[in-house]
Amino acid sequence: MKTALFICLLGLGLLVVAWAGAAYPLLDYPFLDEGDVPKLIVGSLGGAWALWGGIQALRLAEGKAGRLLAGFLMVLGLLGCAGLFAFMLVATKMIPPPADVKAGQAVADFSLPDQSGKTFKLSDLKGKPVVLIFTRGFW
Amino acid sequence: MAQSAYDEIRKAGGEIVAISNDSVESLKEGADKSGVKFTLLSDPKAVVIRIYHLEHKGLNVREPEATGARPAVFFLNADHTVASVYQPEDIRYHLSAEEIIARFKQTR
Repeated sequence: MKTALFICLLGLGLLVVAWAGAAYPLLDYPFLDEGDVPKLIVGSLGGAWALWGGIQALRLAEGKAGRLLAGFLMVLGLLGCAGLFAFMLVATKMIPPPADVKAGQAVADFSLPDQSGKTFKLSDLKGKPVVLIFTRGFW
Repeated sequence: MAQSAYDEIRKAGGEIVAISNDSVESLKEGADKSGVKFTLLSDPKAVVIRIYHLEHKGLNVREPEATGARPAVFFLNADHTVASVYQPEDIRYHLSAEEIIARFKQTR
């Protein structure tokens, strides 16, 4: 019972680490990329681990309280794992579609702060031809 | 370079907008120093730069890990459809003011 609980908690710990790893870089850049795949794998392994530990704990549990605790940990692992997947799916959907830069195609609107800190939207210039220059910087 | 093209583009009813991964502060500083009048946009997290597939690490000498933009110029029509795209293989190359004006006039 104790060993199974320990395994279960270890799995939950992995899940938490994966969650933190997935969420932290999103603070800076709100989209997922290929670099986030290992976190997804670690997260799912952690979730599966926690589930398995929960099942073992449930099997070996003695008394109502033990079964309750094991069941609770199992549900926690399941929810955490499902949540991580849902989170990844949502975050992936947040990636704006790449601009179609072929001649004749309309470009998607975007907004960024300008040199005075005001928010500029490309659509503010609707009706005007625009020369959109991407540069390395240092004006 | 683009500043000398600005008046002519403006006269023709167009606008110049430049995007880089500089912070708002350094854009302000740069604009004050160089007298640039057109809109400079700050994209330090390279969100729009990535939408346009122009991300490039190590372009900024001061922040080699920051993702900057490879140079590219998109000429947009009044309805913001793409008229033409300029994207040099060599990232050191920029369009001159004359070339910007010439290409802009072609798009009209």
